[in-house]
Amino acid sequence: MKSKHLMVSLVLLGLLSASFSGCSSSTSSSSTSSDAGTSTSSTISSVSSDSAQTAPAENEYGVAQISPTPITLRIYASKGAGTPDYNDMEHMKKYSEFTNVFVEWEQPPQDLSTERFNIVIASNDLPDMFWNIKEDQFTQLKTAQAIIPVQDYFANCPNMLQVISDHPEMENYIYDPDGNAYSLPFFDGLTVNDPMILRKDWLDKLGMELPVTKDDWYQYWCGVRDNDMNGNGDPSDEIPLSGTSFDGILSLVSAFEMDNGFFVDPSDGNKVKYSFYDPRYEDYLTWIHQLWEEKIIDSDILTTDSKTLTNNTALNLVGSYRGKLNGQLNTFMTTMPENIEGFELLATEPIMSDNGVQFHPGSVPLVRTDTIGGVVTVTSEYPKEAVEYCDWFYDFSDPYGGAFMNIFGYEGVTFQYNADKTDYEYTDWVLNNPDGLSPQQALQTMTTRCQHPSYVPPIGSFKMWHPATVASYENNEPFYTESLKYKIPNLTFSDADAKTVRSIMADVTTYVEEMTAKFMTGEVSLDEYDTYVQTIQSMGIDEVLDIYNTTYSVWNQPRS
Amino acid sequence: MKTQKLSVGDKIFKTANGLLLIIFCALILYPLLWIVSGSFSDPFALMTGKVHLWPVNPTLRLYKVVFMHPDIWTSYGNTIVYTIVGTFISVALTCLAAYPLSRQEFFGKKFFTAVLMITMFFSGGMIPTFLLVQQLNMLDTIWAIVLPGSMSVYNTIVMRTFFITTIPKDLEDSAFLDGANDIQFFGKIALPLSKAIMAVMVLFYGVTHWNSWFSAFLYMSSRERYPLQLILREILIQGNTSIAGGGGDNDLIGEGVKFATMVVATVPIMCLYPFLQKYFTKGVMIGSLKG
Repeated sequence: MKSKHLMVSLVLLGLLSASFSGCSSSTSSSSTSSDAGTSTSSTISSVSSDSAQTAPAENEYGVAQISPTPITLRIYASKGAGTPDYNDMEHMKKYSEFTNVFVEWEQPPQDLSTERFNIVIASNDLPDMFWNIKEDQFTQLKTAQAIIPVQDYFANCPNMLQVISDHPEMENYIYDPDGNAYSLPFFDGLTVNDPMILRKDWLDKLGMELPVTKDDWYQYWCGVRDNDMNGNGDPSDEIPLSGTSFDGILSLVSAFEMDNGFFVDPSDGNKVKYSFYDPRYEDYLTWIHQLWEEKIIDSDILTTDSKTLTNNTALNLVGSYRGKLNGQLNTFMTTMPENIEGFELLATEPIMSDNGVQFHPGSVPLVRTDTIGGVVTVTSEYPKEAVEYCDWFYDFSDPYGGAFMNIFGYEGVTFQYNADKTDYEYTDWVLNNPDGLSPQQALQTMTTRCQHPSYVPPIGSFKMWHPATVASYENNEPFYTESLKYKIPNLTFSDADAKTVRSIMADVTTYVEEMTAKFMTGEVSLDEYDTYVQTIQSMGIDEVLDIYNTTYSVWNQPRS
Repeated sequence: MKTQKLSVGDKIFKTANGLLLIIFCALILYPLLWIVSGSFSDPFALMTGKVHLWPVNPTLRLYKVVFMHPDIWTSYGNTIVYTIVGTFISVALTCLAAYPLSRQEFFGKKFFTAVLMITMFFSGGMIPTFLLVQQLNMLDTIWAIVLPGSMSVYNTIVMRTFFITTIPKDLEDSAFLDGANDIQFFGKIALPLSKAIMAVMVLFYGVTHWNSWFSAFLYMSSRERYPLQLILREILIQGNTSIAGGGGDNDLIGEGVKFATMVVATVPIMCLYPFLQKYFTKGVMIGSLKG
C-alpha cells in the first residue's frame, strides 16, 4: 500500500512538472524543444538532399504529401503484445516516404504502459503524439494542459471528416462541450461486445428457442441444471450461469432497465442514476438471490476469472456467461469443437425487461472512450502535420487505405479479391497459417492492427473469426442505438467535483459490491434493503448524482 | 559393502530416513516434472486436468509458439550478454567493496558501512532513478541494465563476513613482511582464497541478471535490445489487446505456453548449478557458520 501511495505522489509530481513546462513553454521548455529542433534538422539535411525535390505527387497509396521537407515526429504508441516494430512495416515506411513525415517510435507494451507513460511524463520530454492511451492517462494529460485542442487541424483531413459526418451521433463524443476536440478519435466498429453467450447445442437438445425474456432464460438455466447436458452421467455437474467475474452478474441489471453503475435513464428525462441506489435494484437483488438459491449461478462466481471459465468450458460444464465476441466466443468456437462433440456457442439478443425494454449493457460508443486514439502535445512543433499524418488511418478503402492496410494487409499476401473484385477475403496463409500462427498472430507480423487513431468497421475483424461471431454480433447490433442512450460518457469534472466524486465513490463502490454479493448469497437478508439504501445515502451518493447530472446535462447539449 | 553389522534400530532408522528423504525429494521434483510434462502435452489435456505425471498426447506445439516469436533468438543473445557483463561488474564491485570493509584498520569503515546500509532501506524510487539514467545518457544501452543496482549490499555483507573469517590478520601481516602491498595481497592472496564465495556471488548475481526484466522494460526502447524475459512475457500475454482487431486467441493454449516459457527461461540458468554447486554449499556454509 505504502509504495503505491509513493508512486501516486511521484506521478503527480511528474504531472505537475509537465504542466509547469506546458504553461511556460516560452521559457523553460524552449531549451528542450530547441534541442529537439536541432536533432531533427540534422536528420532533415541528411535526407532532404536526395528526396525533397523528387517527392512524388502521385503515388500508389494516393496520399498527398504533408510536408514539403522531410520532418520527424516522435510518437509514443502503446500496443498490444505481439505487435512487431512499426519501423519494420513496409506500408508504414512507404507512407512516410510519400508524406515526408517520418516517425521515431516509442512502443511500450500496452499492459505495461502505465509505468512507461509515467516516466515519459516525468522525464519532461514529451513526444509529439501519444497513441492508444488509457482514459485516465488522457485525463491526466488534459488536466495538466499537456495536450492541445486539435479540431482546427481537422480541415485537411478528408478521411476523418468523412467518418465524422457519417456518424453524426458521435459528435458529442468527439468534441467537448466548449467545442474543443482534444483527441483524434478511434472509431472501433465492434460496438456491441460482451453479450450473453449460451450453448446453442444444449439449447437445441432441450428443444428451446433462443431466450429473450427473463423467464425464457430461467427455463434454459433450469434445463441445463436438471439434465445431463454434457452426457457424462452426472446430471448435476453443469453450471447454468457463470462468467469471467462478478461483473457479469452485476450487468444483469440491464434486465431491469438499468446499466451497471452510473447510467442515463432515457425513460426519465435523461437523468443520471446509480443502479445500486435505484428502487428497481431491489427487484434485481431478489431475482439473483433466487437464481443463487436455486443453484443456477456458479457457486464460485465471486472468485472466478477468465481462466476458470476457460477450464470449465473445456470440461464441458458451462451453460452461459457474458463473454467477448473476440475473446471467449471466437476462441472457444475455434478450439473446443475438435475436443467436444457438437460444441456450439451463440450470443443472444439482450435480455428483455418486464416492460419490453431491451438494451445491451456491453455496448460501447463507436468512438472508443476507454482507449484514446491519439493526442498532440503542447511541445510538438508539428501539430498540423501530426494530425494530418493520422488521416490516412481513417481511410478504409481497399486496397490502399491506411486503416484497410493495417487490418487486411497486402493483396496476394494476406488478403485476396474474389473473381469480380467486389469482395475480399483473408488468404489461406492467414486463416491456416503454415507456421501454426493464429490468424491474428499471422496478421500481426505485418500490420499495426489499427491500435491508433483510425476507423475500423466491424467487417475488419469478422473475416478472420469464426462465423458464430458474425451471427452473435448481428443478434445484438440492432440494439446499439437504443443501448447507447443508457451509457454514460467520460465526463470531465471540475477539480473540486472530481475530488468529491472520488472520495465518496471510494467508499460506496466497495460497499455496494460487497452488499450485492451478500444479498445474492443470502448472507444478508433482503429485509435489510432499506438499511442498505440509507447507508449509501449517508455516504453522500446524492451529492455525487447531482454532480453527474449537472455535468452530463452540459455534455448532452448539441455541439454548435 | 558391509563394514559392521547394523542393529535393528539402526536399520529402522536408516530405512525411515531414506523413505522420508525420497518423499521429500519427490515433493520437490514433482512440480518440476509436471511443468516439463505439461509443456510437452496437448494444451487441451492440460487445461482439463488430464496431465498428471507424463505428457499426454505429446506435442511440440507449445514450444513452437515460443520459438516462433521473431525476437526470441536476439533476446536470448541479449540476455546472455547482459548476464555475463552484469555479473562480472557486480562481482567485481562487490569484491572491491567487501574486502576493504573486512579489514580492521580500514579508515572510515563504520561510515562506509552505514552509507551502504542506508541504501538497503531507502531508495530514490522509480522515476528519479529513471531521470538519473536518462541524464547519464544511458537510456537504450546495455549500461542502463547492468550499472544501476549492480551491487547488492546484502551480498556485500555476506562477502565481507567471508573475508573477515577466512583471511586472518596474520596472513596479511606475513604477506606485508614479505613485501606485498595492499593491492598485491588482495589480488594474489585474498581473491584466490575466496573462490567459494565468488562462485556463490556469480550464482546469485547471475540468476538476478538472468531473471531481470523490469529495468530493461523501463530503459530500453529498441526491441532488438530486449532481454529474453521481456519477450517471454510478451508471448504469455500475446493477443490480449483491447483493440478492434484484438482477440484473446491464445487464451486456450495460454496455460501451456506458460509452462513452455518456464522451461525455456529456466533451463539455461539451471545448467549453471551443477558447476557451482560444490562451491555453493561450501561458501554459504562458511558464511553462515562462522559469520
